[in-house]
Amino acid sequence: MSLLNVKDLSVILSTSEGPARAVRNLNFHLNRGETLGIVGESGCGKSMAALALMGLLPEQSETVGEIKFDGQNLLEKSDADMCQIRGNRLAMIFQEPMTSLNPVHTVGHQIMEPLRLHRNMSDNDARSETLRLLDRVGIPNPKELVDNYPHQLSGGQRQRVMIAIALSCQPDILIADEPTTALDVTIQDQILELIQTLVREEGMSLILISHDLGVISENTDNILVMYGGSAVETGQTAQIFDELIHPYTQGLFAAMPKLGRARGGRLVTIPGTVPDLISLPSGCTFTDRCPLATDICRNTPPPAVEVKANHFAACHHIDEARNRKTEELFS
Amino acid sequence: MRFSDFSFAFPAILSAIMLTAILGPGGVNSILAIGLYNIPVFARLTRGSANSIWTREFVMAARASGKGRFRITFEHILPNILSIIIVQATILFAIAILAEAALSYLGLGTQPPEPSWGRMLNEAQTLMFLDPMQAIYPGIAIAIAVFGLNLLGDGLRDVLDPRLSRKR
Ligand SMILES: Nc1ncnc2c1ncn2[C@@H]1O[C@H](COP(=O)(O)OP(=O)(O)OP(=O)(O)O)[C@@H](O)[C@H]1O
Ligand SMILES: [Mg+2]
Repeated sequence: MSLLNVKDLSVILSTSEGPARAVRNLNFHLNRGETLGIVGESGCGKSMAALALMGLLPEQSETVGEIKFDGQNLLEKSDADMCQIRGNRLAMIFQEPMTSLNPVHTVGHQIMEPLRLHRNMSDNDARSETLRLLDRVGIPNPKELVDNYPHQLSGGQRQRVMIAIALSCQPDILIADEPTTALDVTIQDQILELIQTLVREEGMSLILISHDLGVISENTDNILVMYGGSAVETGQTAQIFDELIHPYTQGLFAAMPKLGRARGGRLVTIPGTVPDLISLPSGCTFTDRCPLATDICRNTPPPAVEVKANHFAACHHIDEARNRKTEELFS
Repeated sequence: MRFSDFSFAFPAILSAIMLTAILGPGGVNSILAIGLYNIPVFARLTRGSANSIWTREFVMAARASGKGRFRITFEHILPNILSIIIVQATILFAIAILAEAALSYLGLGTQPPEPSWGRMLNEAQTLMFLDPMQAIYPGIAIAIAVFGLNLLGDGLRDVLDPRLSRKR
């Protein structure tokens, strides 16, 4: 059985304009040691899905469905029980390393906290473990840095510290929500590689969230493509890049600049903007921007069809989407 | 919070006069009047700044590492608003001194034989042209005390904020 099994997960946010379904009927599972990539445009509900797993959604929200972690449904847990799980068995790294550390505590203090909280370490043990962790995440001079305040560190260093905090209790699953979006490109690769190495060596599972297909393709075993809160395509990474099926995935891929692409080759743009969550069609959320959309798309949610073994796409017009070239779809 | 809304509707001195009028003049009563008036000021400030810290990313990160609300309040929220509260305390301290002087000047504060700068000013008033120094000295004392407390507030803020203290 999988380590993590998510069934029909929906997140409904109450906003001033009415309820907004930020995540709709998400299904996925994650085995021990596997990496899953969640990809999609800004605002498609990736962070909301991650926060739902952690039980950290805003108060004015409702989560329905089932999140089975190690056989237990996390949605039925009390907040006190979730505090035992968070940071200990499920850890998360956030997008903004600049603001994810508390400015009034030293870096060392912040790494030692979870060690004391979950592993009941004494101050001395926690301190030497902190130095080991800092060394582990590639901080060159842990002894000096440990007593520094966050504002004295660079963005890359801070993200390494965040990773050290996340790793401190050897979690089963690490959720990295766009861990490199705020960093510059050279640092991005180093951080991703660090996460990869640590995940492999510690035998953790990883959920890597990104809007960058390139990052996802290089770092994951399985992919979940999200649009407007729902999963439009899922499958093994190699399989999906072998054949992109859903019109949205095709558009997303074609919109990505590629090295070595013939000069003068044009980048594709998907027309329209990310939909307003409140006024989404009841059927396929991509309807308004999809070149293949018909009436059935607007009103009936498309079922996830297993196109090839373990490669699912949720679209009413799968055959047409497969037969047409991407350039024809978005021209 | 409703009560604090009420107290914000009246200027400090006015409500202190009102309270001492109800409680009767005297040293302890004027202290109570000024102190009670300042409670909602702190409540407002603490609540407002704490709420803004609660929405910060590092609080989310702390929750993600498994800390409960109680621990976050004391380990993450309080240290971040402490300097604001301390600075506010020194400013209000200065204002409280002015308020006491005003109350005593009006005869509502400290009663003789307890000494008070405000009452000294009051008594010096009649002798203003014969011996102006009698009014000037307590006036200077009040001004220096208030100014000193403001300086103390600034100094404390610099010491308490790691971002500022390191740069000097
Ligand atoms: N507190 C909130 N109240 C109401 N709506 C919200 C709230 N937070 C987020 N949303 C909405 O939920 C949707 C999903 O947001 P989410 O943060 O999950 O997007 P995302 O896929 O992580 O985007 P990004 O790539 O920019 O991080 C967005 O449309 C956003 O407007
Ligand atoms: Mg996000």
